[in-house]
Amino acid sequence: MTRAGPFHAREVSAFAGRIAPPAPFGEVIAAATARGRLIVQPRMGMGDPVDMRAGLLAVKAANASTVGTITVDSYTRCNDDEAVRRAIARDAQLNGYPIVAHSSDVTSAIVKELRDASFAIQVRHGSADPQRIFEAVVAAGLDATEGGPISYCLPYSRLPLADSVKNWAVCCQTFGRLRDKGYEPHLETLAAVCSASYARLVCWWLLACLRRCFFPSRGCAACR
Amino acid sequence: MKTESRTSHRADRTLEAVLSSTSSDSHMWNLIFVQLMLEEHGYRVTNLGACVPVEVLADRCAAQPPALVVLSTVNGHGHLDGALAVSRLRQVPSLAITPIVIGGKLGIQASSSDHAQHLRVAGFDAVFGDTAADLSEFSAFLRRVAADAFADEPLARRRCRQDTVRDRANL
Repeated sequence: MTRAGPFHAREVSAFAGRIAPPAPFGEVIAAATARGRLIVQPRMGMGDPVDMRAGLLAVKAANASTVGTITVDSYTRCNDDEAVRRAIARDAQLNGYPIVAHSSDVTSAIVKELRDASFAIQVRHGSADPQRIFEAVVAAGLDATEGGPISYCLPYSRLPLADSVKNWAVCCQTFGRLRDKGYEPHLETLAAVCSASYARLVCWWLLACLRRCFFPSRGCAACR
Repeated sequence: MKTESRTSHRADRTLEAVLSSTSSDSHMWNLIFVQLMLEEHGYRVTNLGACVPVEVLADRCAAQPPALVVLSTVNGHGHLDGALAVSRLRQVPSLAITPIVIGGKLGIQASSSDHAQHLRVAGFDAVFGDTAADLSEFSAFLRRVAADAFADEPLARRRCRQDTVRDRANL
């Protein structure tokens, strides 16, 4: 956990074995559901790619149907590059994986090693201005993330909602580029956090409906 | 998301506390809890909300210097963000001796004495973790600040402040 620092692909690619075929997030969930299995998704993100890989490996090896998570750190979420650099330089512990700061080769090496037909990996971030996060997600070949312009703005950001909507519209186009790589982009609509934070149940449903309209109209599938 | 306590006819005798999250922390439940706790101790609270940029916090506190500044954070970056924030606040002349405290989950692991010391050196008067004992200490601190503010002779606070400065110099 204290090994934050500049990383290169070779440091983690040494762990990488076979190149796994794409495993769309939705298909993994549907397959586990069809078998009547409860799916467990430990939410976690580590600043150090070696720790991030070890965490995902432990989740995959657990005696359960699991989904891996890469949670992005709070500085990356806020586009505060300087704070990320300061934290890494000080060997300080970030509260998530700085997916923009780390090379996409490093991230994709982890993904290629661990993702397969039974183990999906999802990125969670909480950003109302996530263009660079989506660029990093696509560059690493990650096919699943979550959130939305409302639920990742009101509890998470001081940006005006209209700006968040514009930002997320651009991100949908970015995410859609995954299809060129043979992946089907998957966006989980995150409304639960709103009901947990401040909203009534009716707002939860309303947000879910809004996202069902927003994402498909911009080329991204949206599933709960 | 800024909220303020309802003022009363006793507003002139109530102390104002500015409550804020740090720049990277989006959590609000802790702010609501601390706001209620401050109000229970008789403070009038200006709650600046989540993800507060340092300059927003500094500008607000410089424009209307409060009796107390409380930073509450639970995202594990408090030991980094808090130090930056308090360094900026201490640059404001009117906040030189204002009690400024921080509390919550200050690192991503269990509370660290290193983090607490680092934050005190950066300028905080007190640093609180996330245990029940920390809440009791915070409560006692709030009573002390209020008692000192309404005392006829605020020398004790100045002396306390001088001790803190001396402690920092000795660290």
